[in-house]
Amino acid sequence: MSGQQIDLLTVLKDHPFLKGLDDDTIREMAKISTVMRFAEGERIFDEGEVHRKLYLIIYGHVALYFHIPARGEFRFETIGSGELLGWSSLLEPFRKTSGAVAVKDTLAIALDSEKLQRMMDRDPQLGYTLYRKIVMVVAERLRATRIRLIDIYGGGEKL
Amino acid sequence: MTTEQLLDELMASGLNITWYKILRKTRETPDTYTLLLKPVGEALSEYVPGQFNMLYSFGVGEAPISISGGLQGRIEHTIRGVGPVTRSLIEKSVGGLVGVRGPFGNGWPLEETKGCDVLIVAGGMGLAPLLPAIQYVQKNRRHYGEFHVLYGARTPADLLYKRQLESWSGKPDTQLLITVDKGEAGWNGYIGVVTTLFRYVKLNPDNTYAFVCGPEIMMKFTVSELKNRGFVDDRIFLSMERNMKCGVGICGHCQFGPFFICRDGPVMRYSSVKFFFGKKEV
Repeated sequence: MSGQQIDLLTVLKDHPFLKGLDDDTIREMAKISTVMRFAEGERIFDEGEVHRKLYLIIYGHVALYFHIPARGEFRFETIGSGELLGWSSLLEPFRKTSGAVAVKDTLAIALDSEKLQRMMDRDPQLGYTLYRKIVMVVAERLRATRIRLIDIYGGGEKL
Repeated sequence: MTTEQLLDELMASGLNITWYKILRKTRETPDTYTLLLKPVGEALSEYVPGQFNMLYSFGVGEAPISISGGLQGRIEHTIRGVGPVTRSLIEKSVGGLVGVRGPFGNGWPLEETKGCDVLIVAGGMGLAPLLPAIQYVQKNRRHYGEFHVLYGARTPADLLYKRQLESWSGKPDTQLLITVDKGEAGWNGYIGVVTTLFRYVKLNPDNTYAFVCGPEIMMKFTVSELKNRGFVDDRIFLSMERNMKCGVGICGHCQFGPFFICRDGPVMRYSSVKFFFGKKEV
């Protein structure tokens, strides 16, 4: 898809995060959306930054990280095609809980989250649907984090 | 005593062990090595992918180790040095002696799955017993449908078989996805537990068999993910790990419910073990 014209409506409609939304809503979302390309190594946002964009990854690969004093960047999760990046742009205080960097060339649709929030305020049914989807994303990431706490690759008999 | 003198004594001792010499030793990670073994005399019978051998380090003891490859009588074992026996095995030099009993147990259902898609899910050292199965599918590629390999490890430094992984990643007929728990500088791959890789794989559960190997907790979460994606219990195979001793289902060390892992496993269909899998005290 790189280098080609993006059909925003089709791409939004096909994105798993927006699956099930009606055509009118998708058309409204397209009005507040921008196609963005990030080159490998490019920072998308920094930890602590107020950043009012919600990204839908079309292809590519983004790593989330914390900066640890005296240790440098600690990458703790990656997000790939078909996934959502930047859910904290919809939740007060809209401050990024981690940084994000493209680890491969990435194409994303950036939704203006302030305008999206106003859309949801006007249409509570849409708000409910989108927040429900966001909770599922956050719950899945929480579950993955809990599993990692166990150190699932260790264990076994010490023979 | 030289290796040759020790060998003479051991051969004459009447121990029911076949002796092999280390032909090559490959460092996989700081504490894990792959030993290529060549028989001193007659080789043991041919293995099937998924089986294991009991490896004996003279004067230290025996440990069950999965077979990770080998041809024409030679066998390969990938060993992580975590206890006295395994540490002693990986500390041996090329030319050193290793006693071998086996091969034991049953293997991956490579015949039954022909004509179907195959999904491999490996965690940590769990890739070792899956390696010969992966190689078998690749050699007989036209007999299988889609082929996916998902592999998770703690860090990039803990990944096994880096050269093979690199060669598989270039194959158009194999989808290989690798993830680590902790990314390090320069790691541009996925970060997260192995189950998060399921997001990037398109699976047809009605026509796919899953082969899963890793620590039991990793397999538990993988089975849960497979079930969420519509896999039936009969199409999920696990390689179980217990403290195998005799290798022939007599001593009882590896009892798992009504099964002995050394004899009835290590590869087992999930439908037959699900009532005991992940249960306390089993």
